[in-house]
Amino acid sequence: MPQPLLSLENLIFRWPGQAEACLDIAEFDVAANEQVFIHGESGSGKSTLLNLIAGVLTPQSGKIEALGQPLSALSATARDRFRVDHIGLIFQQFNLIPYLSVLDNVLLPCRFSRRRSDRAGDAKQTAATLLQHLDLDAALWQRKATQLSVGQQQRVAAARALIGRPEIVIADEPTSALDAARQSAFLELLKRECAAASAALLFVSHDQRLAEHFDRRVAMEEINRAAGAQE
Amino acid sequence: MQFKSLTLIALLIAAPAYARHDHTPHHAHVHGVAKLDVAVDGGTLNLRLESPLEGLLGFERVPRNDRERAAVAEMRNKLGDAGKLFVPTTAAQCTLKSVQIEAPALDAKSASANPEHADLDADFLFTCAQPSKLTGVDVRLFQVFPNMRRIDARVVSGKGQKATRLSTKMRFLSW
Amino acid sequence: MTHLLPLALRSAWNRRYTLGLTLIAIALSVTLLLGIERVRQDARDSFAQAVSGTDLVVGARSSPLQLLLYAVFHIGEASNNMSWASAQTLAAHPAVAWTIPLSLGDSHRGFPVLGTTAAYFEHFRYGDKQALQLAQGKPFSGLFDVVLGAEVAARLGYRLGDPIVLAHGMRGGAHADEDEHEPGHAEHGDKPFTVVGILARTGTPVDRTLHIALEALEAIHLDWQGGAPIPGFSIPPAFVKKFDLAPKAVSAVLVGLKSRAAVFAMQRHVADFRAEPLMAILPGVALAELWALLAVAERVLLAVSALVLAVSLAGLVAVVLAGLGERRRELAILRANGARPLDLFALLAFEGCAVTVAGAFVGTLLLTLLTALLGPWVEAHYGLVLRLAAPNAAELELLAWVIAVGTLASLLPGYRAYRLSLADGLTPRV
Repeated sequence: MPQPLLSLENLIFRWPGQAEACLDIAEFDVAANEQVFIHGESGSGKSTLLNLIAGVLTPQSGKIEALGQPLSALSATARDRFRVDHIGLIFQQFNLIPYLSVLDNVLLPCRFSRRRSDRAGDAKQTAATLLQHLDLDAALWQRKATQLSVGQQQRVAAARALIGRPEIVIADEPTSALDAARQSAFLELLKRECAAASAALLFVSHDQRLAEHFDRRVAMEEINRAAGAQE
Repeated sequence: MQFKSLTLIALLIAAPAYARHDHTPHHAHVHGVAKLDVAVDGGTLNLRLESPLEGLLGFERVPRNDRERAAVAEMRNKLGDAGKLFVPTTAAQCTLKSVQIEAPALDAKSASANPEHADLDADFLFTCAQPSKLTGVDVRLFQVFPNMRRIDARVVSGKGQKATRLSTKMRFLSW
Repeated sequence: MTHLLPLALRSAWNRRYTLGLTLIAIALSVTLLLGIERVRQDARDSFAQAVSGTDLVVGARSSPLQLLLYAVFHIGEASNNMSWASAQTLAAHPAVAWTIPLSLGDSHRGFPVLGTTAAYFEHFRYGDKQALQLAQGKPFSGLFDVVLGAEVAARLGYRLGDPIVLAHGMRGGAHADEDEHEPGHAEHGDKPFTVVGILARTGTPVDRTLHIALEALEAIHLDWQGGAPIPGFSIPPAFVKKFDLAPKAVSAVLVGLKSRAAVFAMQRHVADFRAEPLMAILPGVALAELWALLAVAERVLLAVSALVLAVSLAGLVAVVLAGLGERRRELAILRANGARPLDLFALLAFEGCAVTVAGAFVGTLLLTLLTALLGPWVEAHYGLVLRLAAPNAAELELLAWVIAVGTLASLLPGYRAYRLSLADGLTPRV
C-alpha cells in the first residue's frame, strides 16, 4: 500500500484550560486523490480536526503526517508555510476578502506561496481557467467579491482553494448557505475540479444528504473517541 | 492704546510680574537670591555680585562678638579667593586681578541706615590671555555659601546681552 | 513582507473615509504643533534681530518692558517723555560713544513715525550688527524730508519724491485699506513731507517705520496744543524755520557705550539721574526676561498642541482597533491562505504607521503652505517674519517623535490582530 497522503495516529487534542480532550483519534488516513465525506454534528470536533490538519492548532500528543511530513514537529511558521503550499481551504461562507476583486481573491494563495505560484504557471490564466470551469462568467472577475451571490462566492472560494494545485482541499460546510439544487451542483463541480487537479478532498458537513455524493464516508463519532464528551 | 498691530506676545504680557528684575535704586532684598552682572570685554572679565548679607554671612549688621567678627573675616577671605568662586573657561587662561568688597552694614561707622536688611556688593576682575576661548563661567558660590539658593545673572559679551537664572542645579553661566 | 504591501494599501483604500479623517486630524495637529514651535522660534529670532549693538535703552522711569516695546518695537507708547536736556547730558557722558534719540507718537496710515537724528542712520544696528542700508535716495536732510522703511514703501506704493501727510497720534485707520479720513483724525495736512529715501528691508520694525528729523516733529506741532490744531492759527511751512525747533523732549534714547564693561555702571548712573526719574534697560536682557516670562505661556501652548496630537493618535488607534472587529473574518481568510500571525501584525502596524507618517507629511506640507500664504500678511500686520523653510533640526526631531509615538501606538492594534489570529485560527467566532 502506498504511503497515505494524510495520516493521523493516536491524536489527542485538548483546549487549554480544559480537562477533557476534545479530540481523540486512534487512526485516520487519507490517500492521495481520495475524496472523503466527514460527517459530524456541531461540537463533534470537526472544526478542531480541520484546524489540526491545517496546522493552526497542534495536538498535545499523537502524530499528524501530511505528505510524509510530521506536522507537529514543524514550527508555527513552517506549519503556516506548509498550509499555504499544500492545502486549499473553503469555508461555510464569507470566504472572500471584500475589498479585493474576484480575480485577486483567487490569486491570494499565490501571493503567500511560492510553490502555489510556481505550480499555477501563468497564475492569471490559471485562475481564469478555474473560474471558467466553475461557471463564473468573465464579466464577474473584476467585480468586488461582495457584489457576488453567495453561490458565486463559494465557487470563487473553490477556485482559490484549487489554484496552484495543492495536494489537499479541505471544505468545511461549503454548501450550507446554498439551496438544495445549488448544493449538488456545487458539490459536483468541486469534486470534478479536485479530481482534475489531483487534489484529495476532505468534505466536512453535518448534512447527511450530501453523503451520497461520496464513496468514502466517515462519521466524526466513529473516529473521535472523545466525541460527545464535551456536550 | 489703539495700535492695532499689538502682537499676541504683547497681549500676553503681565507687566506687573515683570518688575522682578527691575534695577531701580532700591534693590529687592530677597534672602538666598543674589544678583550677578557679568561684562566680557576683550580680555577683561568683570563680575559684580550683589547679595543680601544673610546669604553670605547669616546676619546683616555690625558684628557684635568675636565669633561674628571671625565669621566676617572668613567671608572676606572666601570672597577674596574669588578664583574658587568663579571658574572661567579654563582654555581662556584667566587670572584674578582684583576683588573689591563693599558692605557698609558691617562697618560701625556707616551702618544703621537699614538695620534689618543689608546687602554686600563685590566686584571681581579677571583678565584672560585667550579671550576668544572664554565662553562661560562656572559659578561655585552655591558650594561656598550654602545659604545662597539662586542667582539672577545678566551677561553682556560680544555675542550680545542675556539673562539667566542660576541655581545649585544649573550653575554654569555660558554666553 | 512585500507581498503584504498591496494588500495593506487595498485594505486601507477600502476604509479610506475613516482613515482619511484620522489622517486629517493627525495632519492638523502636526501643523498646530509645528506651527506653534515655529512661530515661537520665529518670534524670538524676529525680536532678537531688532536689538543689536545697542547697549542701553534710556527713557522716563516706567516699566522696563514698556520701554523696550515702544523704543525698539514701536509697540504701544511712552507714558512719559524724558527731557531733551537729559538726553544731551547723557550723550555728553564720557562713557557714551553715541546716542540715538527717538521720538514716537505720530503715524502715517497706521505705520509709526519716528523722529530721530542722523545718528540713527550711522549707529543703528540690527540682526548680526548690520548697519541700515538705503535702497534708494538718502537720509533726511531737509526739515520736511522723510525716509521710509521698506515695508511702508512697498505697502503704500511710495516712491522717492512722493508727498506724505502725517497724522497725529496712532489713532484711526491702522492700515492702508482702511479709511484714514475718518472724523476726528487730526492730520498735519498743512505740512506735507517728501520721501527722500527708502531703506533696504531688514526684517525688523524699522521696515514698518517712517523716519523724520526731531526738528520736523517739533515743526508740525508748532501750531498744535493738547493734541489738536489751535483753531484759527496756522503757521505755514515756509515760516517754521523762524521758530526754535530744538526738541523739548524725546521718548527714549538708544545708547552705545565705548566699553561694554561699563554697561552696568551706566545703568546705575542713569537710575540715579538727578534731574528727572530715568531708567536704563539692557535690551537683550529685557528681551530674555520677556521670554522667560512668556515661557510658561509657550509651554502651555506646546502642551495643548501635544495633547491635541495625542488625541489624534488615540483616535487613530481607536479607528484601527474598531476596524479590527469587522476585519476578523478578513484576517482569518488571510491566515487560511498563508498569512502568518506576524504578517497580520505587520499589516495592522504598517497601516497605523503609514497613516501617522502621511499625517506628519501632510501636516508639514500644510504648515509650509500656510506660511507661504499667510507669511506676508503676518509680516505686514504684526512685523513678525515667518520663515518659509524646510523643517529645522528641532522640528525634524518633533516630527520624528510624532512618527515614533504613532508607530508605537499602531503596535497595539497590530498586537491585537496577532492575538486574535492565533485565537481564531481559521474560523473566527464572530
